[in-house]
Amino acid sequence: MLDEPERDRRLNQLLRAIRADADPALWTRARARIEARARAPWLVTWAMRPAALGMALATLVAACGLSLLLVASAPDSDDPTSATLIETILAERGIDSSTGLESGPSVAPESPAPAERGDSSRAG
Amino acid sequence: MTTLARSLLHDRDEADDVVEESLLKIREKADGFRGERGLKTWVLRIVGNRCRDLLRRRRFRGGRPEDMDPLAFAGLRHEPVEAWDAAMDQTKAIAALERAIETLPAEQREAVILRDRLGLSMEEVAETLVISVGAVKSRLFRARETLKRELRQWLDG
Repeated sequence: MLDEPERDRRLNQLLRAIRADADPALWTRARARIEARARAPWLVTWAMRPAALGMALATLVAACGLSLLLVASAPDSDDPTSATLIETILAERGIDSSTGLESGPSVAPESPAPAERGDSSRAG
Repeated sequence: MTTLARSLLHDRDEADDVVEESLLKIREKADGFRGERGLKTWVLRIVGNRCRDLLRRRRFRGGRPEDMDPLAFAGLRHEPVEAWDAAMDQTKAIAALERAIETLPAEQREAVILRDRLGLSMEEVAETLVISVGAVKSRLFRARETLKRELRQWLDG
């Protein structure tokens, strides 16, 4: 049985006897990546960072949320009290939009302009 | 860097990835390095942080096969200890040591590698781990006690 200092000394020797040799390919690869990053425009370099990815994701979520909010707050087309633009115009002119029949004075279809008439007769 | 990563992770491929990523990070952060702390401890802290992240994520991953030599799998090599009895199988002792190191909690493992394998001073280890010197001593004591217990057969022989 060894005494404590001797055991400590042996443990130290064992621990220090171990080393790792760096792989030359590792340094070459790392150098190439560093050089490639240095050549890339700053915007591309920034976009490759995790922070940029997080920001893009946050923007996407915010945009989706805003869209949902806008869709939810838009007037409901099924609402019987709401009217479309065409219905409003027809109502102003006294036309019943459901039947398409006029309740007011009839409007005669516009006759073609004289010049148009002349052109068509010449063509015929 | 390589010795620290391989000693902590015990997986050569993972450790080399960590070193490569750390080199890129060091290059990226080099402009912000003011030198108020030592370069060595700054570099080792970057490597240590990455290793710790990996070890945390590794919890659900299968380990190294039992029959595989831990030293070869980790990409480590050992130099012969001349003062030791020639009859003692140093390769087996060192394999047992690496297996024992693997069982240590991550924070004790890091302290013992930095201090006893890389030969950093207590202050440098404290600076690297961002803890007090007292905490380093406590971690080292517990780690060494575990290692001595696990390696009794080799240390007493």
